[in-house]
Amino acid sequence: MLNRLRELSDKFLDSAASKVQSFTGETERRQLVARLKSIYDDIRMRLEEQILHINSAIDIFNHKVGELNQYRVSTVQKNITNLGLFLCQFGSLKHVGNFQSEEKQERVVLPRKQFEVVESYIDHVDWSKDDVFSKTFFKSVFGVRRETLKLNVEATTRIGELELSGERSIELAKWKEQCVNEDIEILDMYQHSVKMISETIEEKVIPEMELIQAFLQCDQIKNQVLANQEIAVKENGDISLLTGTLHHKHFQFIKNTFMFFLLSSKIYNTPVLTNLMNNEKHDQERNEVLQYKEMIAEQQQKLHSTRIS
Amino acid sequence: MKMSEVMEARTALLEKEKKVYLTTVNQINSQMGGLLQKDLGSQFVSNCGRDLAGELVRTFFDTTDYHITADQLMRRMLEFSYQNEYDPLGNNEEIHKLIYNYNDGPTSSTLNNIMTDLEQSKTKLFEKEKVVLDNGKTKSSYKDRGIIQKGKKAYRDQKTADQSGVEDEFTGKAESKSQNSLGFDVSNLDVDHTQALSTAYVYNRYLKEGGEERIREFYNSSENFTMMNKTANQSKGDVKVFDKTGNDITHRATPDQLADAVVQRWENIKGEEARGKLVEGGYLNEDGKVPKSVKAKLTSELKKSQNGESRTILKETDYKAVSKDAGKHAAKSLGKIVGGQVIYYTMPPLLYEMKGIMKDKHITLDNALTKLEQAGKRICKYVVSKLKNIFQGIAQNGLKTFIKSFFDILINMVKATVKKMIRLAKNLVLAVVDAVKIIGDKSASAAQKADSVFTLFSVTLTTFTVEILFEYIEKQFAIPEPLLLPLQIISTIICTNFSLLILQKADLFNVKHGLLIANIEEVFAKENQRYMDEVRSLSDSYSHDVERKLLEIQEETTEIARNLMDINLYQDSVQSDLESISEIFSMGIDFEKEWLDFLEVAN
Repeated sequence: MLNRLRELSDKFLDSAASKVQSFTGETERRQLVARLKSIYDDIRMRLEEQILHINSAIDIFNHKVGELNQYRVSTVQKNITNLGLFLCQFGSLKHVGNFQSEEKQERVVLPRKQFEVVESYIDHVDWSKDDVFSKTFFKSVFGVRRETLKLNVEATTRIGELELSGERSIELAKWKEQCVNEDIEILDMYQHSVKMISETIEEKVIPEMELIQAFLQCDQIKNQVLANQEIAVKENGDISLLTGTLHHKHFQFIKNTFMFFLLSSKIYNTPVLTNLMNNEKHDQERNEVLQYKEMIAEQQQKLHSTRIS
Repeated sequence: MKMSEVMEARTALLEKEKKVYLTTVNQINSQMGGLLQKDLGSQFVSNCGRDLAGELVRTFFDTTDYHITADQLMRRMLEFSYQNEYDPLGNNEEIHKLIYNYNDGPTSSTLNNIMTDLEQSKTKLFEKEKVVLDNGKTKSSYKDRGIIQKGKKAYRDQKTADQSGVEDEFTGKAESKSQNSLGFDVSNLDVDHTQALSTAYVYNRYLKEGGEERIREFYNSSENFTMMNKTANQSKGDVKVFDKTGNDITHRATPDQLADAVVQRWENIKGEEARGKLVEGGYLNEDGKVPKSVKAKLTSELKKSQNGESRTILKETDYKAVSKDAGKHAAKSLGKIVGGQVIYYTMPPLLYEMKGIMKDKHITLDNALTKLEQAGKRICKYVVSKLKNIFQGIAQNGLKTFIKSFFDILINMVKATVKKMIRLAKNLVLAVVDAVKIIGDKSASAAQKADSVFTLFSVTLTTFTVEILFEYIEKQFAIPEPLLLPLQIISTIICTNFSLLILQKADLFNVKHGLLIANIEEVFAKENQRYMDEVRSLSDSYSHDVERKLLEIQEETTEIARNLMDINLYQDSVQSDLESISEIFSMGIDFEKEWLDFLEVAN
């Protein structure tokens, strides 16, 4: 009988406590805090996962940039030297300039500061049982109800903001991954073009250079004989005189060689790919992608401006 | 195709995304501002204004039986759309409007019909007849003089038996006796009928058999007797109360009205001897005025008597007859009740459709007819979907009209405090009917229902209290007749809206809070979804564009590779292919200029 009475009184007390918690908004606060934590965990997990993907792509990009730089300092430089030695007989070549390496990309890190703000807010609204008791004790049921309901409105707003900013961060991170993959594709195309130029030089230009040089020396000797001059091998003269003559093809070869020299020099002394990805407009984009944390913070400030205090 | 175009597309994508995000944030800010801004002051003024408009039309144009106020109908017509309609009858908004409708104004045809029925069945309770006296003279005397004298005697005997002795119940002065010309002891106190027999009427239409006799007995019972100074009693004799238009309303006058009339009679008594007796008896003071205590006692006795009479009337009432007449009045109102429902559900969509057609600048006779046909179908579909609501509305409003008529009959049969109690009972019973509807609403949550019912009963009691208070104020400040009704309407509206505001602020069932939370969640969910949709659409478009650009560049470099493979360096120029590579990767080489520089330097 006593047990039955105790059970009944426990039930009654539980029911009364539940009603009071419902009235004061405590039940709702607990649900909101649980939801806030769950959304926070979900967003953080998805973003961390996305950042792993981005960094994996960045690693591939950086590895390929290393390969490209290596190719430029070995093969491209060797070709420039060969072409330069040949061409300097027909004109004056500008200084090629120093080697400039293509830059690697920085790895992306989690926007910790942003998450710290959310964590701090969760701590602020996640009252312990002692907190609830002391608030109820000192502020009365009606006082604590007013405070809790106000806090619940704010927490609901925060949840909405967190969902929006979180989804945005994830979406921007997906774009970042896509951009890095595109950068890899562009790098591949550039590398392919560089190799294509170098291989053409190696296969079609360098083997012919000695022949052209010999021919032009023979032609010079022939002219000296005809002019009854003393025979001597001198520097080649004005090659533009070959245009429109039987020896126009030699002029064309030298011009083509010069074009290859120009392009190879540019590939060697300029970080073409880095410039392409870091041009003025692209800088803006790059900053935005890399620093999306700041953008989120700025937008969140705007959102907070209408939040009830 | 340049590779930089891919980068520009990327920049453009981010700029667009930023704009979409900023728009989303602005939208959220603006909607949140609307939700969190609690301008209770302007809400209060606006509600009072609307209520006043609705109540003035209802009171002065007898629109009670339509069960929808003019302001509600107007707002519904102006704001109606099929997707989002303002529907105060469908949901439990504006409960206070239901409560205003519990009581009718002076132009109410139902109320006037009830009064006509009552007046037609009104009969005098105590008739007089000519009686021939012993000395051969005739005298006008009540037919029921037997029970009258018996009652008076019993009352005097009862008072005499009291240990304190017989005394004037208004002044507290002890009875004094003197001898008359025949040598009999004559008392200076009379047993007085508190409510005079000459102005006693009954409404036979609603009395059970024998009821009239019970009421007659009441009039000659201790509840309607007081010991009063003989001169005071004789001088108040046939005192009457008239309304502003001069009609005799003594039989339904309030205790205060009757007391005022008696006091006036005493203060204006003619003859020095009579005045002197009243002064001596304590009914007039030295200034010729009735002392407050005497007037208060008189009012109190009248109230007691009227309440006693009312209780007797209620006991002797034939409730079947009352119900039958209430049903008759409800049936008469049925036309307006049905009309109200039909107007409420058909006019707003009709006006909405008309507005849509009129707005179309390219309307012709042919397409107007087609559009009208389509509009007609939409209206029919809407009305059919609301048929259940229409029939429920008719049934509920019919029931409420019946209850109102039933109670209005009773209210006009009784007097004093009992009258007020029945008025309160009427309001509470009508509130119960509305509460049943609220509780039966399947679309509302338990908290919403509890909140609505709590508001319903709170406002019902508030309006009743205001009504009672207004009667007191009216008596105290002698408000001019033309201002009475408008002032009562205004004060009821202000107090009702004020109590609604307090209830809204208190939000005891967290309903407003729940609504606010739901609205905030809805704003974020809607805007977040819109943002994600737009961003995904941007992303798809960007991916497609960049893919196409990269493919074009891929094709171009493949073509260049093929050219270089096949080129004869002695015959063909490599310049255009190398220029293409320079352009694709934005190398910025001017091949021609560099060549000329090379040749010029040589020369």
